[in-house]
Amino acid sequence: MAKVNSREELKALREKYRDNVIMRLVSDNAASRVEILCVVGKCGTEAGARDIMKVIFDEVNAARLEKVSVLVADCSYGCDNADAPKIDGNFACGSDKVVDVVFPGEAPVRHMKVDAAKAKEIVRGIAARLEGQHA
Amino acid sequence: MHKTRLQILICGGTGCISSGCLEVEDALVAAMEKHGIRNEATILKVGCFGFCEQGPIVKIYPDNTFYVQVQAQDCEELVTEHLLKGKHVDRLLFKSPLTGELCHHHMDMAFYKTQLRIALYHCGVVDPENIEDYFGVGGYEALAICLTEHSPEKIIEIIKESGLRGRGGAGFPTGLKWEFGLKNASDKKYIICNADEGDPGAFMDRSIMEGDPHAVLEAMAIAARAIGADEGVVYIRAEYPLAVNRLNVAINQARKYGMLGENIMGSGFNFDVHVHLGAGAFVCGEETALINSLEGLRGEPRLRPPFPAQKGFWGQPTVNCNVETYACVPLIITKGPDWFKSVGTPKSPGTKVFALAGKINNVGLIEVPMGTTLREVIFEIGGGIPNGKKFKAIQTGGPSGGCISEKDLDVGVDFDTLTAIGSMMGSGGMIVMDEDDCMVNIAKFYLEFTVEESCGKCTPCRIGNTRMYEILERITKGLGKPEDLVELRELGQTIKDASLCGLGNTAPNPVLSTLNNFMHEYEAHVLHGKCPAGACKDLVNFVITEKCIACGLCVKVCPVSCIHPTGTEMPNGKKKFVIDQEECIKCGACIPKCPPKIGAIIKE
Repeated sequence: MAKVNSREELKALREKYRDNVIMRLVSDNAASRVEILCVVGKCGTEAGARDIMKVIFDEVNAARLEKVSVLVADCSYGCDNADAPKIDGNFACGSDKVVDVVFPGEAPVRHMKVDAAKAKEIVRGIAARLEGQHA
Repeated sequence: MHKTRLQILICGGTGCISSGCLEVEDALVAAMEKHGIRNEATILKVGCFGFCEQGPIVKIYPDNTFYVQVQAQDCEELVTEHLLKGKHVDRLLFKSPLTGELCHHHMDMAFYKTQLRIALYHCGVVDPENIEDYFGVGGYEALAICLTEHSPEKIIEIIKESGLRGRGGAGFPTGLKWEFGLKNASDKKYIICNADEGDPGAFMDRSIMEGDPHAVLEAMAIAARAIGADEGVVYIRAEYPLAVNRLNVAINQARKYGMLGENIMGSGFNFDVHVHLGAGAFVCGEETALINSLEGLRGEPRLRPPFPAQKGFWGQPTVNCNVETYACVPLIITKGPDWFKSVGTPKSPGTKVFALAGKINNVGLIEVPMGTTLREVIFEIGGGIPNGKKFKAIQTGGPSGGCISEKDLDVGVDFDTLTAIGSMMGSGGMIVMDEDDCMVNIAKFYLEFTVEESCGKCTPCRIGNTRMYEILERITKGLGKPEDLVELRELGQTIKDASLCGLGNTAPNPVLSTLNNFMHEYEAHVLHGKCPAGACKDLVNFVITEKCIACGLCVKVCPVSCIHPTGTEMPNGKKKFVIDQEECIKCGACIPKCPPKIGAIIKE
């Protein structure tokens, strides 16, 4: 690490290492945080829900959406429950990887059958809406 | 952007380390590896969250969940429930003692709601052992501003304008102190950071150094720039090993990045800091005694004037401020003096950190705006008195502060109001007492501390305090005379007026304030030979009343076997017990053993 030789170089360090702390700085303000909840019940996980979550997380990072948190949520259908809804003989969340998007103060918007392409689309949608709020 | 989806912050303050946070960290890592999600979270040990009573504390981002009293064996559940399924582990959440509601986030808790952090701004946010975190939150920006935009005079003007006063206790205006340092010309000047923190129970300075050491270093560099110093010393007690270690780590990192050393940020300004370990004498918190100690002399105060700003360390102009004072400086520079003045009271702007201890539910470290009332501190943030006991007094300002009674609880706390009600700010210790505490005994306890810590240089402090202590000892043994109370007052006032330094000037405070606020307790001891709180052993007898059902529980627990059956037959045919007053050592072990619905053992 080279020594800082000017105020501009310090500013560059600040920009670079803001990534270390940004999550802690924005999380305290729940009122402005958008949550993406990836449903990772038993069969969702078996069907790769955590991989989809990874895609979403990478996408959020790439777009530098500081106010967006990627979280997991337990299966809302109850996979271990024999009465849980099934599609083509599989539990619903196993065949449909489920992602909920929650804007502050709003009801969750549920996305079904989320694959990698759809995941990216969801993040792009959030980015566009946040952009609109800033403009 | 984010390196990992989650960040898990574990409180790494001394308090949480002693309640087992290091084991929690290991267990958390192990559980995450076991479930194959180690790469989903960054685990960091950060500075004190303040709620030490509930440690170890674990905070999970980005959903900002605040877990309390987490033990190593809880980590498996935290990983399988919270990290894998996103479900909060309810049993590890803080439950409000008043409403019984679970608090998921720290702002849900009464303890945090009215707090405002300035000195502790980044404590619990940044990784104290990683300067990069500090850069990320805008660290060293204030120093850069002072090096590129502001002249020394301008820096001092800003600090004066902010109204910042010394947080070490005396409340001297910091800007004025720096101005004296600038005006006393010399080719060598020093900056000292007083981290001696001698008040028993006070740990705000330690927590700042453990949680945000770079803020202190940055502020010292700003002070150095303001007065034209090139060398700084942090005088810290050796019994703070974690703070010493983190300071040294921070100093080395700051040097590597050129935040300390020569030609800082290409400005031509040179400044470096080293750490000096003190042996922990209370008097070395006094600035001239501290300088003596730094020079290798006995820790005794010097006559002032000359003040340290004129002739301090090695005879050179020296500015010496307390850790918490320094910690406020970078934010005053970046956010401006008006922002700082918008918090607190007109004569004491900003916030103050208090260490809340004693008979209070929420023991911990709090930071509140100046002017917050004692009632808010005790009953809202502090959560009131445990076990349904009645509040009696709060002692502020460390061992030489005064005891404040119920009648002054609505006073807004600042430097001047506390002095006006016979106590002082001191470094911000707050010890709460309940109905079981005897105020004469408490005054004796604090005086014992100052008598022991007196350096002995001046007569009023060395002999006067010892005489006062002897009188108090007589009173608590039931041997006091009415004229003792007059003499205590006279002696106390003389010691306050005639002592050389702050230690002697304030040592009689606990006695004088209890004489003022709790005279009836002194009178009960002296005139009636009674201790109303039942705390003075020589004045109290433990007695078994007629309610005794002769169950024998107290007999089993008595360490000196002084509880015997009497001849008095009870309705159930058993024989009532009696305590032999000659043999009884008044330990009180029998009282909690007597079933509460019986309550046969009382203090008389």
